[in-house]
Amino acid sequence: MSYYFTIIGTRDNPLFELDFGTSKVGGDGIARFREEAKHMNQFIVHAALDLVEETQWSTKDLYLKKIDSFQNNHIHTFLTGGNVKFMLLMNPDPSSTSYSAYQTSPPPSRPSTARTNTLLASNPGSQQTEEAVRQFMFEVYEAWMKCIMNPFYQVNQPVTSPVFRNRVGMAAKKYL
Amino acid sequence: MDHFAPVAPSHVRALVLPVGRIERDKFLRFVQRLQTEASVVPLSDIEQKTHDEAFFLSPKAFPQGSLLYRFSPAAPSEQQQQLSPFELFREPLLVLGVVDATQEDGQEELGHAAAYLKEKHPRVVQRQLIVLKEDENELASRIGNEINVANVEHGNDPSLRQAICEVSARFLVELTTYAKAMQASPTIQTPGQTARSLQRTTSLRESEKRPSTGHATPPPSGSVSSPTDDGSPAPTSRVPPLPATSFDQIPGANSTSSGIARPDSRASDQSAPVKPKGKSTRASSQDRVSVQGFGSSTSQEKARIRGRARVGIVVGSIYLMAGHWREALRLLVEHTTKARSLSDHLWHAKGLENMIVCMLLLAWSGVEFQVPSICDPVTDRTSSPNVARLTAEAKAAAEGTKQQLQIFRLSVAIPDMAKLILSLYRSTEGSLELPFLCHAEATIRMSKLLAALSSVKGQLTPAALRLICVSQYASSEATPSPLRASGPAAALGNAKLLSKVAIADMLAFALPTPDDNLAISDHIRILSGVASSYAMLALERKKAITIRDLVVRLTGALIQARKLGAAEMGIHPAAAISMDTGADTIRTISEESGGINDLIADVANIYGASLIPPGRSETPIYLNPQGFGNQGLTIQLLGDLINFCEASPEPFGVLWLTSSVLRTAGPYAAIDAAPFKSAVNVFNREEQMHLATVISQTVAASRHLGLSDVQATYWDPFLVRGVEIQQATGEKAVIDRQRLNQADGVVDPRNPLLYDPNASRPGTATTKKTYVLVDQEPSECMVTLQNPFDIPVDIENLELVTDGVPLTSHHEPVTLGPLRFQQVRLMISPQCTGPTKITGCRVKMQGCVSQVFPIVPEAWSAKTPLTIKDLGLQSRPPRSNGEGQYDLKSLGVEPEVIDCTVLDALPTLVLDNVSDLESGMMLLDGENRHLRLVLRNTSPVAAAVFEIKTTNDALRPLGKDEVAKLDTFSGVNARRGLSVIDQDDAQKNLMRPGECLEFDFELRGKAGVSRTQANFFFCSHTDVDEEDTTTAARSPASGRYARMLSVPVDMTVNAALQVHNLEVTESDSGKDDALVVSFDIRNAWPKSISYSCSGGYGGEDDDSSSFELSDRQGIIAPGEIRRVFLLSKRGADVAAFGVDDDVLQTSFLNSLLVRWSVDGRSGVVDMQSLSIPPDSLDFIRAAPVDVDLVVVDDEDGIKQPLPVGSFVRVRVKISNRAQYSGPLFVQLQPRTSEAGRDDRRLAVAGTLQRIVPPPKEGDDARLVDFVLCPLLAGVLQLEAIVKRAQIGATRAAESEWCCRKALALQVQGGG
Repeated sequence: MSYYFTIIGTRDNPLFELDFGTSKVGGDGIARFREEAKHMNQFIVHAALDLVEETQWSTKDLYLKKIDSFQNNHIHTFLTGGNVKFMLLMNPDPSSTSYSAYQTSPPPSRPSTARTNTLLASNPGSQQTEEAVRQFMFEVYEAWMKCIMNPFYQVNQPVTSPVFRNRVGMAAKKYL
Repeated sequence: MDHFAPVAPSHVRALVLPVGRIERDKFLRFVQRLQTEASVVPLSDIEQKTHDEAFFLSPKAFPQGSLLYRFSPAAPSEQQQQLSPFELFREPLLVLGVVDATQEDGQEELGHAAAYLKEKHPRVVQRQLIVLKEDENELASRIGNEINVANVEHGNDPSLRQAICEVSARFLVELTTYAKAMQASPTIQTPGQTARSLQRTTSLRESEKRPSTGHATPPPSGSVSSPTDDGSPAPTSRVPPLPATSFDQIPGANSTSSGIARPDSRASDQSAPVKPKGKSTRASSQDRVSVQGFGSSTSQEKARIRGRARVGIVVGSIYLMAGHWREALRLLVEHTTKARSLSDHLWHAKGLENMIVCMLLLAWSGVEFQVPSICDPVTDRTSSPNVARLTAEAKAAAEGTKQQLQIFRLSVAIPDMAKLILSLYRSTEGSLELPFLCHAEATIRMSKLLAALSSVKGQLTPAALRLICVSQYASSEATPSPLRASGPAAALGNAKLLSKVAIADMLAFALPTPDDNLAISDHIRILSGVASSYAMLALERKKAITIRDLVVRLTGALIQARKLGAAEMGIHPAAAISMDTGADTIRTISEESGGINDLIADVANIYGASLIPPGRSETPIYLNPQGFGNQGLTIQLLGDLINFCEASPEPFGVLWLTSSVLRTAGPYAAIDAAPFKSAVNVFNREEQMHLATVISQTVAASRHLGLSDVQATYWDPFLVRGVEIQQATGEKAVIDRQRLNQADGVVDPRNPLLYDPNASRPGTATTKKTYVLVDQEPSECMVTLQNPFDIPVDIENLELVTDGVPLTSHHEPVTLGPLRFQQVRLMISPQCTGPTKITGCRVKMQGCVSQVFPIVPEAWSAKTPLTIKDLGLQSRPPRSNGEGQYDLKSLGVEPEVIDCTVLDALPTLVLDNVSDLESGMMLLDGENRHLRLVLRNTSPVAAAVFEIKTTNDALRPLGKDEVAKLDTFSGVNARRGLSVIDQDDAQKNLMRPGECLEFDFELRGKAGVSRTQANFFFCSHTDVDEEDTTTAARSPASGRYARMLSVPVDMTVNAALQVHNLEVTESDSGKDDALVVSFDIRNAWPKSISYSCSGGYGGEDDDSSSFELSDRQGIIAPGEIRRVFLLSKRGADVAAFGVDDDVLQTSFLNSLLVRWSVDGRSGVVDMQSLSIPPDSLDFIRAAPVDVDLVVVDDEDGIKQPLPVGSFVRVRVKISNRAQYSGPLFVQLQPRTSEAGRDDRRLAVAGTLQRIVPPPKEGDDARLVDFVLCPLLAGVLQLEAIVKRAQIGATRAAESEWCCRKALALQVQGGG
């Protein structure tokens, strides 16, 4: 169960990135993405922006719920008023994801679904998952608002604040 | 024809093969013409070949129909062919062998070729040889039944179409035979593989999860069942039912019992995507236990009925291909209904899909048709969409024809049917499931159909139908805009319209994974189909990720093919694969983009990668400075694209993309020298070096292969940062004569203020410097280049680009080092004269195209915009071909332009008699010597010396007349050190090429001066030969610029006779204005010097008699000091009264002359170094008026002494010496020892003071009389004082002067 959280600015530019794993059911909070997933996650999230732009007109909520999936990656999005996208990519079993472009990776083994069944990402569309992600997103949103109120922050500037990073990590630990 | 067109099941696949010897280009041209011109063949164009009753595919039966060909030079993969009877359109039914008549000569060979085709392609319905002829008149060699095509090279030549119509006619006959054979077969095997879901214990959960999670990955399978069709597939061959198929008969039997009873409700169950699969898997799992228990006759009956239904569907699809769409629809409805009732899901889906295709084609061709009820959306009857549909239907019926109503019904039915078909395709038949390829392609077809449908808001229009059926846009209307907005735009009647998100979700199922065991070509084809579907949905980023995946796959495939090709030898590694997978696939996906470069540019643009436009451009292209996208992704993508181009191999692409990636990673700025922070690079040194090596290797390899114009674009557009022409110094220096005259010397163009706050304001800035070059003379130029990259680059060529006179330049080979600013020395030599502007530099870097780089003097870097104005992809920079280019000015950078003027050739002069000056000269202080300088004109241009200047007065040019007498007169004018040669002299100073001219100077020894310089100013004098030219033209001043030759003269000056302690005293003699001048002379020379002194205002002659003076001339021994007295006269210079001390002193000293001579040397002592004490100056200074004081007696003359009490008249005579004008104050003053006792000594009538007007010019004198009466005996001293009268408040502007005159009167007492 691994997560990749990123904040995308208005020009498709990443402002913030964080990998983490689940802290529920005995998780250690460490992401287990494979090496090629590091940039594939970026590509997948980038592709999901298309669907964000579709979905954002159909709801008045800032939280757009699950908007896309690619293989076993599921992407939830929160859209701020400034058109900044919080994208959360969750993958129940990164080792099983075969990024089709890379044949070099060993053929994935099927996950033992019994273990992951209780995890959020096993049911990305479920009420429970959506609620947890929603709470996570709103907590990050609060931290984000405080972060960008920094008078030296310019729009679309990457966020390097360790405080913000810490807060996102805490929110992840709390809800995901 | 698009592989993934929604109507692809109606396409007749035709394999076009080259036979015999044929040029590749010719063959490809033929194929291309087939694809563009002959894809759609209306049945009405086709001649009926036979009137046989059994010829039920006769073109006359349904003239509205058309044959849709898909011509391809590549055979489908084995995996595709195995799908054949189920999906007949995959198998090539027609093989066209293309023979080049110009190459082919033997007729037997044609026969062989025909036989070869037959042997090689036994399964195809029709094989046909096509002979390409040069023209129709050529004698046709009739063997067999080949068809001739003439004029292949000409587009739209009718013979091609005629040939295809002929082929079609024959094909239809053969197809009829094929259909008959097909009809005779009892059943048809479903192609497929063992359902992977069955091989897993958790199959149930997985299969339930898949649709809800949108899990695109079918579970992997370790083993795939081999296709049931076993390679001997004559179309008519009946494959005996394999044991495996018996499994599916039982669930069919099970379900029919309920299925027949309520067909409608069954269908409604199936419309939910989950159920059929779940049901059938459950059913199949039941089979395993109960298979042996059944096997009754009912089961065989069912199998027979199902077989008939399947055969019916296949025959229907044959009708569909043959263009008989109405008949096909009838057959399909009939048999699909049967298949549905028998729960033959896969065939049910196939039948439905073919029905949709039939209806689309019918709608397109404008034939009336009826939407069968099996197609109607089966939904809950109470649901609102149904109501909405009915109302909308009613509306459409009210306003439209029956045909329009049916089209509307079709439009409404399609979304539900598509979903149903796809869910049915996913179901299994017993343990069999369809290969992924089949399912994925169906998904893509359906997605395209749905996308096309939603682009017209769910209403099929003729234009949309044309797009769907023949992939043609109506010529009248523009390309339909892809779906932009979605959501609430859907109209009331389109309630069932699927959203883009839903279609995208559906498409995600079609994305292949490695588990699907696809052939690489099929894999790539599916990816391209998915990408083009995403493009139709306007999901650009989704499309981009798919294309990227595709590019990576293709790269792998190309590299693999290369390896194989290298093993086989003889075939170009790239050519082997480009025919089949590469080129064909890329062409399909890049159909809308228009080319592989466009495709790359498109993908790069979506990711925000700023590519250098691929075309060559004269100046570097500047890109949008506003960053877009993720730089990490950009670089990753560009890396993938480079790999692709390398594998292709496409050297242009490699260079283009490598340059782009270098530019992207680099700072993209005109860097600042101060902190090197601006030169950050994403890549480290090794990676940069690697990319640079890629470029150089590609260029070298291409050159080796003979591609000489494969060159990269240099990656740093801010290469040139400065151009500065080094103005020549020394003899070559060019002087602006205007400035020379203005400022009389060197002009400093710099601002005199150290800090000028207004310097940056417009108008106050210092004027732009204009450089001056001389025709045919090389001058040096420094070009400053920047290199913020860690790559050294060789500069192959560097030259200046000018707007005006061209400047040819030359430079040493030089390498631009890494991470630095570097100055390159350039020798430029103009070839003709005139003004010019340097606008940039043409630089050819190694391996790069030579481009003109503008000069960017100021530092600049891109800034992200502070405001957000665009949403999403709209904010990305426009596509970089054409409109998206930026020049420097739009970036806010002002390129520098350097003004130059190229002058006519200027002469150069050199000093000819250098040897005279080489040894320094010894002079005594004050000595004069004649110096002759000889100049030679070394240039091919006539020169005219127009001015000679010396730096100090030790050197003085002599006029021609002066040379003769070598006068030693040293006046003020002669010491200015400047000689302007007048017009006549200019003629004399003319020097033709190679000529010499002499110039004479007087050199004067002066203490403390050891070096002096003579500057000759000269210019060209081109028109010397014309005697009658005007003064202006003849004047050398007509040229604005001149040159200067300076000749330094070194000398040693030794002291000879020195003069000290000058003193001026009033003379004791009676004469008022006589002065005595005295000074010491000292001999500092070790030999005796004879001297003579003269001077003063008096001159020597008249005074010598009156005054005793000593030592005015004589000989003075070494070391001796002697005081010399001279008599002088005050006020000799009448103007001297008003001048200040310095001038007075100078003029007085000038009047003194001390000459000396020793050993043949002679000279004049420089008196100017002396100073006159202030009180002495007062003596020298003369008053403007002359005063005389006399006693006038009226009667009998002056009685001396005067008696006390007598009246005496004292007269003051004032005569004007200078032109003094102004009132005068005259006072008579008794001079007594006791002040204040005047009244006791004399009595006065009136006062002793007067104010009188000034003496008139030329008048003798003005007389002022005073009458007084002395009262005491003795000597009465009187003094007349004349001063300037001060009237009113006028201050003394001039120096005060006072003129006195004394008079003594003897007064006799008592008498």
